[in-house]
Amino acid sequence: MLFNSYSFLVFLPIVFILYWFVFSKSKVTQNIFLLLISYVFYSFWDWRFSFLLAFSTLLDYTSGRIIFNTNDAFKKKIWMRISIFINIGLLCYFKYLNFFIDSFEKFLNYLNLQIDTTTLELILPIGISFYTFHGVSYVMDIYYGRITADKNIIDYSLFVSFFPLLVAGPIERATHLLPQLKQKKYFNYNQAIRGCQLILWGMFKKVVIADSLAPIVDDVFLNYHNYSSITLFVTMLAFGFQIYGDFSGYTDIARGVSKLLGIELILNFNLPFFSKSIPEFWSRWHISLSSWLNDYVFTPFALRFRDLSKYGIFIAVFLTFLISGLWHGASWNFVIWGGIHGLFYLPVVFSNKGFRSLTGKSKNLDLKISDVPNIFLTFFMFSFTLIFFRSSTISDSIGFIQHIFNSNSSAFLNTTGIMGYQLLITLLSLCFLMFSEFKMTRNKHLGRIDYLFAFFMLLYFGQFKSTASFIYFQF
Amino acid sequence: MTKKNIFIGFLMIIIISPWILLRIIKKSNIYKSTYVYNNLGNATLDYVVLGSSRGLTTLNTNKIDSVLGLKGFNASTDGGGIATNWLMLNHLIHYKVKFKYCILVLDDMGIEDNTYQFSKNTYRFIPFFNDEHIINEINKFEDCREKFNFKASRFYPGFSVFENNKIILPTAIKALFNPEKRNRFDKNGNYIYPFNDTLDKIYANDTISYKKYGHVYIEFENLCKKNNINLITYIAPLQDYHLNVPPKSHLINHSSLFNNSKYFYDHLHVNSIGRDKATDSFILNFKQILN
Repeated sequence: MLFNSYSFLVFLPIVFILYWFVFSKSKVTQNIFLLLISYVFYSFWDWRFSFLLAFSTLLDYTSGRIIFNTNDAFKKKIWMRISIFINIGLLCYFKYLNFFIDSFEKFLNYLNLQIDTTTLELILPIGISFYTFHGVSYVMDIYYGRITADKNIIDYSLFVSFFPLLVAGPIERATHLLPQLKQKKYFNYNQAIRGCQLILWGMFKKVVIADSLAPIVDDVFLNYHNYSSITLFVTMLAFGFQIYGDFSGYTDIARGVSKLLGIELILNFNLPFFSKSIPEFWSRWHISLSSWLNDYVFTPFALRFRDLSKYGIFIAVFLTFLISGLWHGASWNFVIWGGIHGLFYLPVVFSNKGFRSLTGKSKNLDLKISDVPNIFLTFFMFSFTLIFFRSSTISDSIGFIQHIFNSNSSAFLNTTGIMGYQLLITLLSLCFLMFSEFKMTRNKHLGRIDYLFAFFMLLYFGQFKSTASFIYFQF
Repeated sequence: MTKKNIFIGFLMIIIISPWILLRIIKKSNIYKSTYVYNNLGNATLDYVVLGSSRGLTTLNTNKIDSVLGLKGFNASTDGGGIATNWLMLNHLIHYKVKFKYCILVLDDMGIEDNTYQFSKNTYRFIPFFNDEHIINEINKFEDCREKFNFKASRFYPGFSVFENNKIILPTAIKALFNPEKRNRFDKNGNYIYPFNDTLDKIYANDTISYKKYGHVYIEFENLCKKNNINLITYIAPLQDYHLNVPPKSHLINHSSLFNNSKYFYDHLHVNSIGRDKATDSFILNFKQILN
């Protein structure tokens, strides 16, 4: 059930009404209801994987309880490792097994060693990349004494499977979400209004911007050899907006739905296209993932390689981004994408300023005219890496890049008729989006007229006939 | 003007605009359905052609009229299935367009259809969202989102307008500035694909056979009988295969009329020279029926 589908349009009001008017007597009834609804929501994708979700939840809950209740350091470590091993093992099995088999076979073929391998026809359980990370962070936080183990299986299960964030994040932390689930939620009118605004804004980004750009981007990436250099360059930038509209749109809807239910989810995107550097970009883009990787991957690596001084830090950064790339997809394209981002950190790590964190604290934007070149440069750098992110294979990525610089074609996009009209509308929508976000950099909230305009754009220019999935569902 | 007034004004525009847009389209000639409404009400014709894009591009009614001394209209809609043809037939009858012959250009997908289904261009009847003759027929269609939106449009046409927003708004803008403009058909309802010499030259010789006609075709036949319209079932030329259909009176099966791909624009549609030859062959058969 996609957020931008008619069935969700029916699902949400029913959940809202039942939650506040029937099951709102106590925190227990609220949580039980939300847990059941979350599993129902998940089952719309594939009910069989509900068992996997339940298993992962039970594993981490049990591991957490054992780790917390024992004083035996060895036992703590063993159970932490068991939990991580099984969680990551499940992720590797469903997501990476065929990739590893395929890569291994290609490697052996490269060495002229022929081997017969069989890949399995595995369905990727939706959301597995996200809920396994919930579980891993929970167990690790207990192990390191940052939090206590939850005694309530319902509360913990809801933390893992809360339906707005179940399939594509944000990756919540126990320290942020669990305390909210431990309290009874009371209806707050302003929070609900803000939730509706976020849902509207998210739908605008997804249905108007992302879904309008999608057919253009798909066609050009598929047939890049037929298009001119300028078309390829523009499409590269367009994909940046598409993925932003798609993913941040999804997150806004998830946060908006949560607010309607009295729950606050963490901010996952904070005006990333106004970043002045790649590190700042990662403090504003998919914040929940970059902070998770910072805390649970980069920091342990940095500690391990601390004897290598700045070289050790750079190795930690680079490995973290390789893992980030791999998390995004079981393909060497994504690994290269991650690796390039790691390389972008070179000047920052080896500068004299003392590098401590992948993301640092996301500061308030205080933009000046002199920041404009850096903002554009950062956006171009990010968009360039997306060539690897979007292309099907490495050779397609390289081919795309080569054609940007050296295309024999002069074909531009078809700008006549309906296509031209849609391009114009998409451009108008992008201008409105960026102008609105620029207003937000000035700490100005969007007004009623802004939301009404977004609503108008959604009604008249939103893609409703064929509901496209969200890009990050594949991760 | 205060922000509150701007907000309310804008909101009113959003709420009212679907009615306005559909009214603009209905009053124009841009779609076949609206062209019939504005130009053919109470008209007396000899024949009407109903079909999909194959009906639209295979038979040239201008030529048929000049050779046979008749007056006809091509009411085919590209992308329309037999259910859309059914809607158009009801539409013609409702607006008292009189014709003795209905030439149904039957596609193989429509031969055995037992249910009325939305096609990609059924939205062209949305301007008639409040008309009983269309709503009654839409009720027969299979339940789907489009049907829900169409029926809900009786209360608020925004349901259909917003679902088809990418088409309706630019169409209404075009219709506002040029209400006489027709969308890909001439004043006799015809459209033509250009000559195309890029098709592969392989001519396949497969035969696909159908054993019976579906419910929708039979209802179509019955409606024609009820209104004293003679139904001619026409199978237009195909490049790749021959269609075998159950016998019918006034059946003209030209599915394997051509054995040369030079007459085709693509595998389903004839090009300009194909249309001429197909029309000539049709005229010979039609003449016999008329006599």
